[in-house]
Parts: sequence; C-alpha cells; structure tokens
Amino acid sequence: MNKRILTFILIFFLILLIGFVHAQNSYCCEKTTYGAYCQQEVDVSKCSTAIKNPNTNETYQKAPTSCESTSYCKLGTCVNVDEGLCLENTPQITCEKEDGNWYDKDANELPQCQLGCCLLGDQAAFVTQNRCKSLSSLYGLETIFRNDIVNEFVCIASATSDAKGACVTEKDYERTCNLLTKRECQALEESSTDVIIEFHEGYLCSADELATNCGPRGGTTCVESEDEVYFLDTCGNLANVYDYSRMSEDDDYWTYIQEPTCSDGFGSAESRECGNCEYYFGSTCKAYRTTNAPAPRYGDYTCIDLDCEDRDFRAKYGRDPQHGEVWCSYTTNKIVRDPLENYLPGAEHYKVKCWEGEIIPEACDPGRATICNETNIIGDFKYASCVLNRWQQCIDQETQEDCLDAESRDCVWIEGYSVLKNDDEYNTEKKLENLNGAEIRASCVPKYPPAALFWEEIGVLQCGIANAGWVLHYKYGLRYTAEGLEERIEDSDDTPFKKCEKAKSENCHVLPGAPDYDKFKVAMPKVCPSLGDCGKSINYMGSGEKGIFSDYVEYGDIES
Amino acid sequence: MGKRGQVTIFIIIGIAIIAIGVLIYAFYPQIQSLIKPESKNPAAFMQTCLEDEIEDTVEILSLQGGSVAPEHYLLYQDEKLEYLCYTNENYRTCVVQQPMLKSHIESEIEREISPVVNTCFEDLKESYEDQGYDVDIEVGDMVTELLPENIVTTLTHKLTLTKGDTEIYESFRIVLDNNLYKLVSIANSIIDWEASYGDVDPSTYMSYYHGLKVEKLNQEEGSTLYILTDKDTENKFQFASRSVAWPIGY
Repeated sequence: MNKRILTFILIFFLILLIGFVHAQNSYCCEKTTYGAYCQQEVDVSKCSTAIKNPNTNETYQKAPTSCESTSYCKLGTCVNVDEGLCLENTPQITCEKEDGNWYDKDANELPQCQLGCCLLGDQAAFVTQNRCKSLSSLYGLETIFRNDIVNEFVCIASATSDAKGACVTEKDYERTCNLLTKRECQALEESSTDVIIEFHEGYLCSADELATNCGPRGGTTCVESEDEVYFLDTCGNLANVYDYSRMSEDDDYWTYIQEPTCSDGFGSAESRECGNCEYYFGSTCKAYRTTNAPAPRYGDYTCIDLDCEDRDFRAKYGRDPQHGEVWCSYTTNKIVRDPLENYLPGAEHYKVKCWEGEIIPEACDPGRATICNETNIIGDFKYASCVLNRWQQCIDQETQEDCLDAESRDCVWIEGYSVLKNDDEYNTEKKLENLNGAEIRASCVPKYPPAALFWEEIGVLQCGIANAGWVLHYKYGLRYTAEGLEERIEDSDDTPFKKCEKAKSENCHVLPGAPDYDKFKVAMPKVCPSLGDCGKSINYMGSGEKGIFSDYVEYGDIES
Repeated sequence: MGKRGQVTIFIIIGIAIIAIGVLIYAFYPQIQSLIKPESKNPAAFMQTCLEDEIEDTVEILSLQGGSVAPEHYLLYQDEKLEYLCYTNENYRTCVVQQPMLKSHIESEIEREISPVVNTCFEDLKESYEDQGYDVDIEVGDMVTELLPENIVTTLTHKLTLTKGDTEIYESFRIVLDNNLYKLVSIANSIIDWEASYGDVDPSTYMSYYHGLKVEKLNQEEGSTLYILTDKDTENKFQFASRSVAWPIGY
C-alpha cells in the first residue's frame, strides 16, 4: 500500500480515537447546574437535566460527546433582526431564548449579515444593512447604505461632512441664522412657510455682511465627538476654534469658517489662549472649572492636559507618563534592580496605561502565563503588551541552539548541572550539546519563570523537576588493610559525599548518577527558581527567607 | 400670672403663628406634596412615579452584566457579574451566553418595573379622583428601549379624565437620561471579540470612544471582568467572561 495512504488512514483513525477518548471523558451539557450553557463537563452530575428548557418544554440535554458534534450545542450565528447585529460562535439555545434567529452558518454566509458602509451624517459605520437602518432611525437620519464598499477603512474614509454655512432665515424683517449643512438648510426651507431662507456656504452666522441678529463673542463650548474648544456666536451657533488672538481684531475669523491656526504643536494643553486641542497629543476640550486647569482668557472651556502623574514611573524614567503611554509594572510595588525580582513567588505582571489623565492597570494573565514586554516607540514613548510566556518546552531542549531559539521559545541556558536525566540505572545527568558541539552538563530553563501552584500537586510536579536526589552508594567506614584486617577510616571532615570522593579507594567511591558537586552547587540556585515559584525564596511582598542552597545528605547503603 | 406674663405669652404665640405662616408660605409646594401627591399632568406624574424605579433597576443591571438575578456569575466586590461569554475549558474560546444583550436588558427592565407601573396607575387614578375627576384607564403594553443617551419606557395605557371636559392620554413615555445603549453596544463587541479570538485590547475601544474607560481585570482562575465607564456620565456596565484561559503552571 502506498505510504501516503497508510499515513492518511493512520491519521484518520487517530482523529477518531481522539474524538472517542474525548467523548468518553466528558459530556456536553446543554445547560449546567451552575447556569452556563453548552459546556463540556467531565462530571456528568454538573449537567442540568432536572429542569425544562422553557423554549422547548423538554429537559435540557446531555451527551457523552463534544459539544461541536451535538445538534443542540452546535455553534452558529445569532441574528438580532431589529438591531441588525450578527454574533458568531453562539449556540442555538442562548440565541433563541431571547428571540434571536439562529443559523447554522458563519456570518459571512448570511445575506443579512453582509457588511457595508452606513453613512450617518458626517460619520460612517461598517455595519449590516439592518443595523444601518436602525442607527439612521435612532439618529433621525436618512438611511444611506453602500454595499459596494467592503472595507472598513475605505468606509470610514468615505465619510465626508457636507459643506456647512450660514442658513439665514428672514421673517417679519428680522434676520436670524443657524449654522447648518446645505441639505439641512434646504429641509428647513421646505418645512417653513412665510419665511425667506438663504444659504451662505462657508459663512459663519456672525458674519457682519449677513446682517443677522447673531454677532461675535457669544462664549465658547465643547462639541461632542470633537476635541477642540469652539467659539459661539451670540445666537449660540458654533463658530471657529477658540483663538484669543483672533477674537477681537480679526473680523474674518468671525465671518468665514476656517481651520484653526493657533497651536503649540503638542495639543495646546492648558493654553489660556488657544482651543486647538488634539486628543492624540494629550489634550481635549473640558470646562476648566471641573479640572485643575488654568482659566482661559475667554470663556469657560479649555484644552485640558490628558497626561498623568505617576510616582513610580517618574522614579524610573525621570518624567510623568503621557496620555496613551503603556508601561510594565509588577506586584513587587517597587523599582526593582534585578529583573528576576519580578518573578518572585506571587509576583504578577501588569501593563499600566495612562489614559485621559487616569492610570489604568491591566494584569497580564495570571501565573505569568503572559508577561509584560515594554518597548519604546517614537523616542522614549513607552508601549507595553502582555506577551505569551513560552516556557513550556525549555526543559526538553537538548542543544543550546534549540534552547536559545528565540523564535520558538523563551529559555536560558545554565551550565553546570543537567535537570534532564538518562534513563539508566543510576539516573545519571543527561549531557546536552553546547554551541561548540561539546556534550556538557547543562539545563535549558525558562527565561521568565512561570508561577507554580507549589501547594498543589501540579506545582509539586513542576518544581519537582529541579529536585536532585541521589542515594550515594559508597563503601565507607571500614577498609581492609594489606594484611586483610579491617581498619576504620576516621570521620574527619566534609560531608560523606566529599570524604568518599577524596578517598577514591576501592571501598569508597561515588557511583554514577551523582553530580559534579561543585558545579551543581553553583548551578542549582539559578536552575531552581527558573522553573517557577520553587525552592526557598522571599515572596513578592518581601516576606519569607532568601533561599540558601544547602545539600541534604541521606545515608544510603553503607557497606562495612 | 400677671397681666405682663399673659401679654408675653400672647406675643410668643403670635410670633410662633407668624413664623409657621412664613414657613408654610416658603415651603408650600414641598409641604403640599407631603400631604398629597402633586397635582401634575399625568405624564409628569408617571415620570416621577417610575423614574426612580427604572433608575434603580438600570443600576442593578449595569453592575450585574445585564441581569437582575444572574444565574452564572463571577463574584467581584460583592457584585454578581454575569458571564456573558464562558467556557470552563482552558485554551479555548468562549461560548456566547447572552447574544441578545440589549433585548435581554430591555425585557429585564420591563419585568422589574411591571408591578410598579400598576401601582403608579392606581396612584394616578386616586390622585385625579381626589381632584374630582372621573378616571378611566385602559391597560396597554409596555415597551422599554435602550436608545443613544437615554432609556425610554413607553406605556400604551389609555387614560381618560373627565371633569366637565374630557382629556384623553393615549400613551406615556418615561425617559431616563442614561447612555447604557452605548456601553451595551461596546459590551456586545467585546463578547464578539472574546468568542472569536479570546482576548480584547481595551485601548482599541478607548481610542475610538473618547471619554470611555475600559477596565479589564484578569482573575486567577482564568476569568476576566470588564468594567466599562462613561466618564462624562459615570454610567457603568460590568460583566464577566472566560475565554482562552491559561491555567497556572502549565
């Protein structure tokens, strides 16, 4: 038989076997006793079968198989018709219990879930057509859905604001004004009677030449979803961005819609004269009275500073963090000098961000399953993320090259002692190949020590990898003299291990399996904590005792 | 008691009467409302009667992941945060537990305020009957909607007031300023992301929605709790999820 076919059959049976074993080991519960839907449970008593599903009036189901292979817990797409929302990875039961429509298909296979570009005034959203209808209705806008745009970025870029201008209304010889788009102004004209309406594109209502009852300098304000501080005219219409230098002596600035010209290049935070705030430079519009910002020279609104104050960050980098900056922090609660201190028992990694003036910590996955990695982007602007701690394969590496393969794993190479053992009578240390090709005693251990639940079985096993114990089979105590008489060796110095090594006689020798003791003593204090929260150590709170490597000799067979 | 003493007592009583009169004049509306319900128009009456109940319900729902009595939850600072997406397995993405979050919250509000709605209509009827009206109420439906910026409960009860003239009210709208709609939309998106990829970067949402704070708190057994806060209104929505959990020591 062809080798390929044989391999295929083998893989097929393997998959079947895995499925069978999985099915044998766990049940798919439609609902669990703790209230979750569609969960795989090893303990069948956790499947809820006593109560009825109100939708079907039948008891909840269970089957000794994986949920993917059941009809009742198969994942599909839940469609909320009213909202136009499609949610994948949803079981039928959770969808239908709230009157959703469930389909055994991916969202991209359902016409009602096809995304397109929904234009909402001067904004755009990449959503389904039903969602577009729902949003347009909520915001009182005409539904404009373009299914020819199939890319979110193109969609957002296609959102253009209609040209704005002064919509002047004249009634009974009184001229007033609203700042509107041309379309809004036309709509106003269509809905009004006995009123003369003119649209002046690009003009502000405060323009002198429009001769309306709206004049300049009506205060300042913030605008929703915009960052800048805006002038208001005396009718309450928006004008240009607040610029104190142009407030009184620049008629043009109160006549035409213009781009702001004032700026310090960094968002004008806490500027008393300029309202050209920029969110990504760390400033946004707020009422100055609600903050500690200095009062602007005109109006009640200013560009507040979104940067943060943080003592630890300042101690580490000599400055305060900026808005948007993300950096690493650890539960050690102190500036650590030795990076290994961030891996003390109980220490967790955090990424901390400065956002809109607030410090927001976010823990990496517990047990240092992910660890914090900090880099500089754009100068010394910090950015940190929690990255996967790929420590699991370290111990098994048999060459230094594989051990230090940063593409595949996060490990370090420690020479002097090998935690890998040969499968022989004496459990001797396995020699690993270093970069020069030499076979030496060495260990490949995690670069970022994971946590270990050392009080539970799994933790004992994890830490146990570093356990080094040998029963030294040596003959010691008596030796035979040339005359065949027994002579006692004095128990003078060192450990029995050392004495035995020193003696190197027929009657006392260290058997294979014992380490190179001096190198072992140097290597172990590094190897042991690298495997996790193992050994004697000060914990992250600073309590406990520092680990001092000590040997513990248990007497084995003393042959006399 | 001498005449002088009597005069003093009369003066004191007089001053006390004047003081009480001044107080009644100054605080008349409040005092009146203590004695009997304010005679407002029916819409205002229903708004006043129901808005506290709706507000309290919304607060509970916001802190508990959208359910008044969560069935499957994570206990965090004495709050029961419902799992909106959950798997008990490690390394696997979660199974969506509440795909129709907005509708679910709307129906939870309706269910919770339903008894109070009846009480409010009874109070309304009593209040107008006390004022000499003939009152007729035809019971209608209740629909609650989460909308941008507010939560609107519409009662299609028909109220007829007759006192000489007849006034007819076809429906009542109780409006609560609350932007739960936005927070629920964001929660939906987070659930979608968690179910598909297992992890969410809160910065993505905070960059897009200025003034939004997304806190993501990883718990030891692999759960994550999310706290969404609208910083302008201080409205919150918090919920739990367990997706692609990494067990400790594996």
